[in-house]
Amino acid sequence: MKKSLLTAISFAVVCAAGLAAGKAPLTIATVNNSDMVIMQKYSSEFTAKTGIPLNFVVLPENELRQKVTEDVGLGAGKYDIVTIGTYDTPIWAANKWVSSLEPMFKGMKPEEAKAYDRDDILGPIRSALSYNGGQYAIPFYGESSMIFYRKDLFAAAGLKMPTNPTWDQIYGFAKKLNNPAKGQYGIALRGLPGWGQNMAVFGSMINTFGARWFDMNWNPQFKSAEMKNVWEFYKKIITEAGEPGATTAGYTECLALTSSGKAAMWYDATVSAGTLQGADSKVKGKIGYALAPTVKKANAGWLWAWALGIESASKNKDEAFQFLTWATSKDYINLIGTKVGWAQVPPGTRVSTYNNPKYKAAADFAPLTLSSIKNANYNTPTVDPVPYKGVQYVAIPEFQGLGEEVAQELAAYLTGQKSVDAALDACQADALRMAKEGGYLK
Amino acid sequence: MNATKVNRYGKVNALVLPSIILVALITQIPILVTLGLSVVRWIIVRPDLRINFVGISNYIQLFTNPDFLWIIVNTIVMTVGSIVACTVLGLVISLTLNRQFPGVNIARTILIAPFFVMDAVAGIVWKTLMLHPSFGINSIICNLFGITPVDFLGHHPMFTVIMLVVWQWTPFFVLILLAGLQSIPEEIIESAKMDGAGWLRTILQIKIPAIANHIEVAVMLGLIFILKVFGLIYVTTAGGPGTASTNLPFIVYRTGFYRWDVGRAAAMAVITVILTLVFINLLFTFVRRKSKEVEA
Repeated sequence: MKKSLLTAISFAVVCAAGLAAGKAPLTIATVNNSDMVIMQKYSSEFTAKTGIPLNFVVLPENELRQKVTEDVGLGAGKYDIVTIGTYDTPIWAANKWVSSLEPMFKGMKPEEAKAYDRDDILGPIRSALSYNGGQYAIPFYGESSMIFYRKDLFAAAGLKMPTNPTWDQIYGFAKKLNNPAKGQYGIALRGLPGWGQNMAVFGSMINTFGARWFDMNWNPQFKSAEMKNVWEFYKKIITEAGEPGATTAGYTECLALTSSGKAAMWYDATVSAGTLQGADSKVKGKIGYALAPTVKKANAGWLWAWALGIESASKNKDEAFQFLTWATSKDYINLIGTKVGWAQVPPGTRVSTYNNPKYKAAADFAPLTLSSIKNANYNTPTVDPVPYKGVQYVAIPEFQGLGEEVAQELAAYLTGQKSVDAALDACQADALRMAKEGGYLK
Repeated sequence: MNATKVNRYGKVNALVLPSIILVALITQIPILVTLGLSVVRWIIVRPDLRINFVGISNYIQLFTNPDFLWIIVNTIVMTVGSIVACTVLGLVISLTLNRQFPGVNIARTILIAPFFVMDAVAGIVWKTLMLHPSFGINSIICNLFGITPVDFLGHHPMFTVIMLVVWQWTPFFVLILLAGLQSIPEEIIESAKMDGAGWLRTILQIKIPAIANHIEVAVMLGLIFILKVFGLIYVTTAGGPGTASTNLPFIVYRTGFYRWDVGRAAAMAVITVILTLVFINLLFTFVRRKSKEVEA
């Protein structure tokens, strides 16, 4: 009995000593896309270097946002590091849900700061992840949007894609290349309702068609002629030359259509280029690229980044900052380039990536991606002035709800459940209610 | 006599009091919290607006919103449609499985399997592998006949959701009704046959009345569970297009986790609970009245 007791006490002392000597684990909430999965896979190198253990909570985008918003909104403090987007960062910073990184950057040793080279981060992305001049999250990867097209199909049809096409040209190409009987669609466009799904594509279309969500006094603008025009165009191009069952086609389905050779064109995130040129893609080597199509507004591509921030309630901020600067460093990009492949390194974050000859050789889409990100109009996204920022979204907290409603109305119109006027009336009423309840419309 | 009863009940009450308190705490606290939240205005993503008491304003806004009233109608259509189809199919299948034929046990296992598939898995399989007009079996079959694939989820969302609910819940009805059929004494069936009753008459006048209680249980439980269908809708149609396939549980989720509007979501949840109780009571009253008529 005595022996057992002594053994138990010894075991407990050893465990306690082990915990005291080790460092507290960091809990990281992240999204389940390929770049983040790669990060998780190679995170053992960070633990080996620093001795800091990591716990990953990996979730799909929508669930991640819900879990993390619950956590920060109710002050639970379950996560140390959260993966958030350009939409969330300024809002969460205003709510004091994530910590400013400025004091931590200032606390870096000169040699650490030099090695990290913060000024190497692409300006538009860094600006979108800032609030009141301070940075609150560091981009892990960034993206804009562009047209992917099948060079072989274009050549066979005698068509030539301009570098900067208009939506009318895209419609013309899509009509000519649409051949559903052979399982080939003119264009793949997201139609799955969701503010991060169909509204990502459609949000950027709204801007270039000269429409806007609100005027400078926060009056909803769904009844404008430009808005009706873009709704009708979206339906026309999808129903006449797009994929069938568009309301079930989100990013993943459109990627599958394009990479399996069923779509002649695809308008979506620049980050998809790496996947289309991957070993599993049936269209590897057949894809050409063009800038986001325009109508009235030039530089119509969207701007997005998945970034890492530190929860205000975290008790391990210094360790969390160490992880942030490791995962977004030049060294990390080199690590992934060497071990996984240069086409798979996280794109859209650092100027040095685009100057790297190995990356340029592996990624023929790199110059267009860089120019799309640099030219994206995050601060002035529309033709007429607006009181909000954000290209494919309105950077206000209520947009998640409003974006979902508009996304559903768009899908209802696309499938013929509602007329364009009925759908736009519903959007106008919903936006008006949101503007009043949120205190925007005086 | 009365004194004994009082003493007996008094003793029993004292003994069960801790259990009653525990059960009340577990079951009633969430309801009370939901009721409390339904009378406040609280937007989680707008902490600057703070939490304000608004009385019954959330309820008034809901009942003056035509979309919400349509969602109530959707919920009723989805629930009633699914239960009717599940009952009819469940009865047909259980009558078939109540016979002895080679492989009957395998057939029973196969037909009951959908009930054990998780909502998310069932939704993804049906959405992507079966019904998708580009990737699904739908596309392959339509292409064989040279016709345009039907966009089930886009153009017939309510029908499709009901179809999936029926696919998933019919086995549950089969399990209960089959148990009922197997409990009918063989002598009764034999007597009916000897009296000249054909198979249809045996089913209509012997078997169905004999399993009336089982049908009642299946419908009652089905009502409770099908009224709360969420996973299938979340994965397949996300309640759309528009609000075409949105039911009450799904709109509660959307209001709570997209708008982060806690007060309005709580008010919707309260309405959902009240409607569920009303439906169950109506059904219970109807079934009891029918039973009395039969007995009379």
